[in-house]
Amino acid sequence: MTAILKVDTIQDTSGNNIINESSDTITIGASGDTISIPSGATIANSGTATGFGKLLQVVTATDSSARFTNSTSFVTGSNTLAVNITPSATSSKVFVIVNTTAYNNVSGKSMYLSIYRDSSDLGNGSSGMINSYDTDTSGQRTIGQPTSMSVLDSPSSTSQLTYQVYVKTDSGGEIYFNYANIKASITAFEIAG
Amino acid sequence: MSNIIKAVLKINPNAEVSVSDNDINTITWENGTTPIPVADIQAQIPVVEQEEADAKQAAIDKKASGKQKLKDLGLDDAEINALIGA
Repeated sequence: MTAILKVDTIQDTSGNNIINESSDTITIGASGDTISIPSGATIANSGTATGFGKLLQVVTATDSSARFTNSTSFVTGSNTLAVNITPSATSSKVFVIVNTTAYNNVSGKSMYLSIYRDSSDLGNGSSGMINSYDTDTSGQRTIGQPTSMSVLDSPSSTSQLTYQVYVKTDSGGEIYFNYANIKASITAFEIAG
Repeated sequence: MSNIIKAVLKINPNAEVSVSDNDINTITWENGTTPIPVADIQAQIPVVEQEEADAKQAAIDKKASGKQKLKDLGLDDAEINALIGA
């Protein structure tokens, strides 16, 4: 036999709300209460959960091709250090971290690296996130520098976004990244806002 | 500098390009640079390599001649090595 109990509020014997429904919002418990999930029980979420401050998704990509460019404006240099991520809510943040090895191949020049979201530089616009100046005067450098960048982005978007590494150098310089075919990586984490 | 980029710059000193894995077939022409035929770039690579070899040999020769001049002034090998850090 099926029974339906129609109420807006369920209270304990002291009159404190346990469950309340109002204007399509269901409130469980009250401030100061503990809502306990028994061992072995599972909460399954097929909708949108907010306010938990949790990791919602992770995407990553790698690139093991050595890349050279003498471009004086930010370019990808064909690198595959790019990830696509579609935030589940406009309040989400996206944390992006990049690891590679790079150096400027010409003495007296700088190498610049940055992370772009689509066509937007998430660095400072002119020098990106890394400006490494080579003071060596002996000619060509052959020392790769461990190079790491990260950014906590607030894209306010639920559209697909592309995060990618961009590089450039000074006029007359040349940046060499993914030095010696190391395995460079980019990883993006969506964090609930 | 990548020999491919050096070869490109010998043809067009203002060229801006990207190359992957030193593969001449992966060149991306950046910032409006007019593409150069691969055969023209390939023709410049031996020139670039010879210039690099010449520059290395010139540095070796200069070091040797400088050392000899110091010897001619009466310095011994230990004094010369202390001076030039060799």
